[in-house]
Amino acid sequence: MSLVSLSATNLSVRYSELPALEIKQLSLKGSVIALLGHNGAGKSTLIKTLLGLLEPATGKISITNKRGELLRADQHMAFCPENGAVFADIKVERYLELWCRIKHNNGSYYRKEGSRYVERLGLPELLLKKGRELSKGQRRRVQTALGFMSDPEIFLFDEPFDGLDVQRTNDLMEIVEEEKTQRAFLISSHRMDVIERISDVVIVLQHGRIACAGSVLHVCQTFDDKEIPGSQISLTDAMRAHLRKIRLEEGLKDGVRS
Amino acid sequence: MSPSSLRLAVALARIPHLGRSLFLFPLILSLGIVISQLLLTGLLVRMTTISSSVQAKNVEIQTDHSPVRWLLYGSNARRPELRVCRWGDNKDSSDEAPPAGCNPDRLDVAIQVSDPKNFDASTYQRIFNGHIDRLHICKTCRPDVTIKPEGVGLTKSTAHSVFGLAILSLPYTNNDIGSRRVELLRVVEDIRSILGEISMSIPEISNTIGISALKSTLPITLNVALLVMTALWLALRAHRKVLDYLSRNDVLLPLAAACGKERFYSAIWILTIFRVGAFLAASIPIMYYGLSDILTTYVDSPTNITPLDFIIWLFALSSTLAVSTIIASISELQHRHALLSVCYRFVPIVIALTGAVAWSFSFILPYQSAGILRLIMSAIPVLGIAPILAAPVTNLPYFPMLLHGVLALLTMILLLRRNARWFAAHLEEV
Repeated sequence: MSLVSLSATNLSVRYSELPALEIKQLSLKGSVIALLGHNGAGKSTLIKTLLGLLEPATGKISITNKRGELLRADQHMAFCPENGAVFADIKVERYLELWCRIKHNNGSYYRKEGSRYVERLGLPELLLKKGRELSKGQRRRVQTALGFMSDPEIFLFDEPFDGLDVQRTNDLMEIVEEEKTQRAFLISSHRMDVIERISDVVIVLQHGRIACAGSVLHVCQTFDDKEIPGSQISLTDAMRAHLRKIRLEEGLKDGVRS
Repeated sequence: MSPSSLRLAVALARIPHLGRSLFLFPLILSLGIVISQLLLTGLLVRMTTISSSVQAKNVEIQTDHSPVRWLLYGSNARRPELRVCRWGDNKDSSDEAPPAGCNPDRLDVAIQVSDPKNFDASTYQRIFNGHIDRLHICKTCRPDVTIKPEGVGLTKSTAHSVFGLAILSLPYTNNDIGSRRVELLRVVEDIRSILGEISMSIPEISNTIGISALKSTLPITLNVALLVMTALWLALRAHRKVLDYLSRNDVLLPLAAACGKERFYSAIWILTIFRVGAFLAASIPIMYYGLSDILTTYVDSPTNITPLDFIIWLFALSSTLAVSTIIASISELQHRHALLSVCYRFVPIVIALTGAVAWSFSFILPYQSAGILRLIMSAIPVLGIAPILAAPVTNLPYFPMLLHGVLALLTMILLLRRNARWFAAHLEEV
């Protein structure tokens, strides 16, 4: 199991003047860390900040490996965005070559050392297709394979299960299960059922702040509104209860305002 | 600028779409612009500097060796003496007929009148003599050119083909017109020799401005300024082109993350330098040899720009134009979601034009202090673009030019640093 530690202190990330992420204190360890939250909760902002694509206005956030070494975006991390990434007007083969040239200084890396991931993610059938001919899922498979080829210590996925059918979801879950011995994952997703099965640590974000962070069990217990001793609800039910609570609170606030 | 950034830049340049749009198309387009600049400069310089002796030679060439005649008849020499063919009644039919040996040809000219026998065609004979073979005086005949002389202001000439239009242009290369042009130029040359070297004295400038030397200074100034503008335009577009292309394909964020922001931006700078370098490498030799050729052929007075003048002027001009393009770019980028986002692109142009108007207006002011105002304006980046642009002509002192360049550079560094921060926070929006 590849464990990483995620920590943040007084972190504030803003778009113009609007705060997008405010984390006072965060410190947790895990091999598959899940980011949950409603749309606009700050999941993507957190990922981009970790990747160094967004500059925090104040504070800092960092990931370290189990040896305590700081992980750098360009050396130890891989990222697959929600829509995957392939140039529309070039063939997948050329795109793989380009990345291999950039990351490994060897355009044919994907045919040799990286061929395992090309095979595992079913890319041979896509190699001669152009980016514009690929579906969203296929584009994500290409970028996922490239991410693995760079042998990261942590792989950051933005909504990897969104729009996948049952078969593809299971395939990706299997890959994560296989790979988590070698590298950690940080996955942002709306798919509670999947997250519950693969992740060991969950961060729940709400309006840019951490609503809860810890093991799946801890999150379920925190949001459990049934309060029946000895029972345990699923992560999906816990998140539903949490969302109900948010709506209720927001309704009360609106009521007080009006 | 590390080897890994260079590797990334080369890898990006090898993407066919980026390679084409970054290097090939702009290179062809920009070279087209440079060659057009030179052609236009050559034409203008030739028109404004032509001497009476050269004009006399040109008149001779145009009248005796006309290229239009070569196009029409396959020979540029003057045609044999013009034959006037007065058409008469046909004995066999009611139609009119040409005199014997006067059969009409397409490249003839016909004057359509009601009484061909008595029409005085001497004027037409004079202007078409040497250019066409036959001048028909008839009622209805119709070669490529027909003329209906119906008095002053009412006469109509019609070309029935492109060749007809060419025939109608021939009388303008007439010896009469040419010799009058030569006469006119001689009068101008006389006035020039009476007045001698013309120069203008401006209070804030110790040397006078040599107006006579403008013939060589002005073409250099305008062409170099346009070259700098084109290079800056290419540089500005390079950034946007790469970022837009990567963003459109959703590759921007994974690539920037995988390479690290520093390496990624360095690679974009390298691509920009490649692009501008390729343009300058191709255009500077053409511009240098083209301008040298034009100036040595047509301009006898040498330019008054020294190498040091040129370097300081180029430094000030490049810095101020670079700041202007960066201001335009940032203004537009930061307000790209605004309804009138395109207006932001014109912010520096408006500032520069305001400065240009104020600077020009100051020459009318009768006060000595207007000179100090002009010097201050010359030192302000963007606002003082007009005085900097005109510096080789106005002999602007070095100090305001250097100050202008340094201030523009400082503004540019400040803007780029702020821009980089903003850019980092809005990478997805580019």
